[in-house]
Amino acid sequence: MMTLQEFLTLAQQAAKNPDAPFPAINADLGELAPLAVFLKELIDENRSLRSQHHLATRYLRKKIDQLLVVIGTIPLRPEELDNASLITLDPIGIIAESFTQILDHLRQTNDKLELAMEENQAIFEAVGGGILVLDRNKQILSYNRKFEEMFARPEMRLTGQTCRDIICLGEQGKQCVFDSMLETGQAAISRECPRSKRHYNVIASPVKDSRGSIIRVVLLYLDITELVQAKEAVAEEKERLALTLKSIAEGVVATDTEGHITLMNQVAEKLTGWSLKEAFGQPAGQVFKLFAGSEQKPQPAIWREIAAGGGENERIGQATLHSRTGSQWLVTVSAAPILRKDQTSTGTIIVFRDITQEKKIEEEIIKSTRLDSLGLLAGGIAHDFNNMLTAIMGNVSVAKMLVRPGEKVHDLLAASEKSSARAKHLTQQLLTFAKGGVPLKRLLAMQKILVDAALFSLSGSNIKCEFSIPDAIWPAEADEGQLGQVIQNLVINACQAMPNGGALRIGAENIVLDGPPVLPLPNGPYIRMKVTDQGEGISKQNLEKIFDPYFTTKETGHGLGLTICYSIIKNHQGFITVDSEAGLGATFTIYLPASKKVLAKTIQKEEETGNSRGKILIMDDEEIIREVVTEMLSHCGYQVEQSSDGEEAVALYLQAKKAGTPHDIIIMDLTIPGGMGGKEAIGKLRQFDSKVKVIVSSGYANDPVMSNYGSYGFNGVVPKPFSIQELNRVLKKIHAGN
Amino acid sequence: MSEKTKQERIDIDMRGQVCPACLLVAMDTMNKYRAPLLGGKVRLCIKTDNREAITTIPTTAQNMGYATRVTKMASYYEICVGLLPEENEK
Repeated sequence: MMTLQEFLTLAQQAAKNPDAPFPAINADLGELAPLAVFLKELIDENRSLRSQHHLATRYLRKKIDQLLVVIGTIPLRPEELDNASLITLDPIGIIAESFTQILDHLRQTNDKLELAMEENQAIFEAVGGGILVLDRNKQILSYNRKFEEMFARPEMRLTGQTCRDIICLGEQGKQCVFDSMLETGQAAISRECPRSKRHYNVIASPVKDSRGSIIRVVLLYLDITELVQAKEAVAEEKERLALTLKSIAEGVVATDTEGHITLMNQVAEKLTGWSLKEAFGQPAGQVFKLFAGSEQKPQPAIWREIAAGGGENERIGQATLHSRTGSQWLVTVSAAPILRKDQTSTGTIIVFRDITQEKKIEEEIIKSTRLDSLGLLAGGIAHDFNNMLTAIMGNVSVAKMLVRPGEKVHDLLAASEKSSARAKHLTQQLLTFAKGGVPLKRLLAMQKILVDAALFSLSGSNIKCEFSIPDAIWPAEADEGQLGQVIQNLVINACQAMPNGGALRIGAENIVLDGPPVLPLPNGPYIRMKVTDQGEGISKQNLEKIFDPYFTTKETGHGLGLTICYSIIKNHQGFITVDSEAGLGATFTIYLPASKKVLAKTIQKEEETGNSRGKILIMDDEEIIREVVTEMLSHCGYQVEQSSDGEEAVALYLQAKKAGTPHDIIIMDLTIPGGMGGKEAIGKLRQFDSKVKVIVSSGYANDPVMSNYGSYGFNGVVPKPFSIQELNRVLKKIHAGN
Repeated sequence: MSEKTKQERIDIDMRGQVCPACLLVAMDTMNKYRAPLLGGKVRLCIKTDNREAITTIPTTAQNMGYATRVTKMASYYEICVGLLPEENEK
């Protein structure tokens, strides 16, 4: 029989160890048998529960491990958390709770993503450019409507095609923006991509995966055709403005509000001696050095005041601009602020006009006006003066012939004749100023005129003269006497400037003026003559007045010599100018129009003198002239008749001709106050006798008839006053058949 | 922690423990303080010397919607969860 104690020991072992046997229920248990049955049932149930618990725990760990792997960590090791703690900690509960948070967060993130996608889609469609999404092989994945409008034909399917097929059309440009972007991995821009007459700005942006590899490319096409056209228009406008600035005669300069130069045109560059490159950013006052007023005070930077005050245009009359190269220009300056729409200033525009030449021409005009006034006066008195001189010279020359040479009276008369000749010379000089005082021009060899006139004036002086005149110097149509007078005056002045002797250089050269006007002369061929001395020179102040009438620096001068030169050259359509500095001598330069005519190589025979024969009719309203001319002609051996006007002369001529004793030559005064003058009478005479020989004579040496008598029907001319020799020479010439 | 944030700080010292136990404890705490963490009133600071935990905890916290930061200290790491947005941008 099993004792209770033995039974309990076996039952406890069976309860603790599932493999331990439970005591067998039999008769040996005796009264313990019912208890043993009950206990066995309990132990079996306990063993079943333990088995289930073990399975549940294993299941839990498996699931926990699965969840932990999902989260991204390693499985839960048993030693880390025993089964009891596992139940207590409730990892599944924790993870489940966390998952709700993760899911909530994912949901929120999804909501945000959806919103972002919608925004992206809206941007994709609303953006002003065409968008193309490509894979790495340039295959089109998607595109927006704008892209379709830009490049696709209606109902064209773009997806699956490449951008080359749609955009480049097989003609890929040198710089493909897609390729550039792939090379660098960074966004690339093609600033101007022309396609089908339109221009695009193309931006290629990479789309990268989490490893940084490019998986997509987004191309944005912005149509910049209008911008390009506007740019071209601006460039054209800029070019036009540059051309305008280049072509205008004024210097134009722009500055910023600080007075620093931002723009200059070519004329401004020339006037200042600064190039735009050099002047850019420089203060305007440093580049434009202006001086104004009689004391030539420096001018402050007026443009700065104008720009600052928003003032109106300002003009400085006749300021002098000192260029960087040392040149000085007479300029007018005007400046104005450059205003924005709101009237605030962005700088100043300065305009300079070079009036140096203008001023010179203005001075020439003033000079000419002065000479014209003098000429008017001279012309008014010259006629009467010449008539008086004719009488004086005539009477003196006749009287001189009546006495023997060597007698006192002869000497006195010779002196009177000489003075009369000088008076005549002075009158002729004065008459060169008279308006319309046309020179008696003929084709002249300039070399001979220059050399003869210079040597004549230098005779007896200690001045050495060097000539530099080429043989091929062109001829000129000029008044020999007047031109000789010019050279003589210049040479005499040069001699007086070199009282201690020295060298005088006289040169001539052929030149052709064909550029922009730098002299007050029309373009064409000219002979440029220079007379250069080594004298004391002329001061700057005197230089401006040197051609003015009555201006002289000599105690004995009358101040007409250079004025006469000026007038003669001007009447020859030429120009005379002078360059000199005090102490450095002076150079007078004459420009005389050259003639294309060829000089005839004729040798003029000297007129023979001797007793004259013939019948002369003189016509003059002044009795004293008639008388003296009669005396002169009679003395020469002529038979003389007188008439006081044209009508009488015509009547006497016809009468004599009818009587068979015609006049050989008629000498007629050009004008008869209140009667028929020579100009009218010649017409009447020619009506009756086309071969009549008529000489015109007048004190109006500047009358066109005198310089061009042939055109008015006269055979010769003898300007008053004249000597007996001059008169006889003309008469003989006409008598001999002209 | 910035003074400006005025966040309450919850410190958990998990030095000596390994993942995933550390992760589970962190997740449990994040679950418990979900509202104040999301509202920015609380931040959770975990001290750990387990290298795996400095990856798993921040990743899980970020998936749950929290901003995190790992700071290397002398002998451990400090993982802060629930940073304020302005702090997170820095």
